[in-house]
Amino acid sequence: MNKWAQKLCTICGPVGFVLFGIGLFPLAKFLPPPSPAATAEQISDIYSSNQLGIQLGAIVIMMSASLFIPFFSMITVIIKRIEGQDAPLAVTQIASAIMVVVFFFTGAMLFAVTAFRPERSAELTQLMNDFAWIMFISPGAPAFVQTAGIGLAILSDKQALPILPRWFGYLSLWIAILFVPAALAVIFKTGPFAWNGLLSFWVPAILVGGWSMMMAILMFQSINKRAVG
Amino acid sequence: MTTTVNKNVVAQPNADIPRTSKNLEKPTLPGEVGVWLFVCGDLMVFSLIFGTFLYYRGLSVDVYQQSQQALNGAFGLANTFILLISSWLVVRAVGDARSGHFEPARRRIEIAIVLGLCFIGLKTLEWSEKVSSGITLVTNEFFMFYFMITGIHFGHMLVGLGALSYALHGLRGPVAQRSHMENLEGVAVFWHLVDLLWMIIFALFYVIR
Repeated sequence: MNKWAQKLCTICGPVGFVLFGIGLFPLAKFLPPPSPAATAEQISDIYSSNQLGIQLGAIVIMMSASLFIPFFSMITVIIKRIEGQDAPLAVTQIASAIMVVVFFFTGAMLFAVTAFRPERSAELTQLMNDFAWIMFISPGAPAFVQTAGIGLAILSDKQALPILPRWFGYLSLWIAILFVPAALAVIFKTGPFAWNGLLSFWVPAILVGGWSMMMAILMFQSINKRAVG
Repeated sequence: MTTTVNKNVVAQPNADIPRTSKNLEKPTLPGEVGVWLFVCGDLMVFSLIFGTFLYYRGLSVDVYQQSQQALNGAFGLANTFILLISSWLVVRAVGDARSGHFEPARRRIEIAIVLGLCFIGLKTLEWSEKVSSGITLVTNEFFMFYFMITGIHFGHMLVGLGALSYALHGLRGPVAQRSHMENLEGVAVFWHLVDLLWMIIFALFYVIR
């Protein structure tokens, strides 16, 4: 029985989210995100005036993305417990989680690439910044698949004492729907669906934080309740 | 929306019987608690979206009012009636199922599903009419909101139709079990939410002046 490993993996989720916040704000100063409507010169200024902060922020966000790997793996284990031998939703969870983590990680890596030589021409910096933010924000679809899969798995639990509470399954389905609008960040430069907008950025970012904290607490309870074996 | 009839027999007020939890059935919430959580969350987010729409509308009322002229009110009104009728049918179906009449319950849900499909057909026509007249979601801010909000609602319609089909499947058995009843109630609650959201969307886009 490896309860300590299960708890360690679980704790990686909230810790990863806190690191994400630290990288995004005090370091990169990307709260609120640079506007997609900003001119090339404005974007270039942002990167040259806070070069080191953005580079350190990118490193911390890449670490936070990596910490989501054990957290999502633990969620996979829990779904496997619910599903039993043939576990399509558990596999969906780990596969979609890899996709989410990769885009998250690569988005941060592109911040670092953009900040690597801010003295280049402003148009190129703007292009790289567009690339970074669209990579970072727009993968709403894999995030939807991942979270909806978790929700459906919880709701499919037929045991008298479900491993995770049913209300959390419904909550996960709701969060899943909220990831979808982020896919529209590829179109808009202003308004709620732009990459710095209410529905593409703020709502998913805040909710994913709350959701991962809640998920971690429920996973802890589930691990503690489980008898040895 | 419509209040559903309490499925429990209301205890007769009788002075002889001590009022304990054992012999007084408490009224319960239709469907699972989780469904209501989902519905409340969804309403919260939609309130946020509607608020955003009204905020941006306040910034440039003229553009919004001009753009509104291009909307075809007949589509909006027809879809409003379609959803109202389908919602009413679902209410009736829940009542039928509670009293053990599964045959009429099934039929009513089937009609509700057909109406939902009509909604989707009309909405698709309406969108294609807009697109063929050169209006898309990047035309201006009003149409960005129009396509986005009706699009998100469209997604809800698809989920709702899936849920209704699932409820219909649950009513197929010879004896609909307690869990089926709860599923049906949950699905009904969600369908009313989709209906309610459409009423607000209709008011915001087609009616507001």
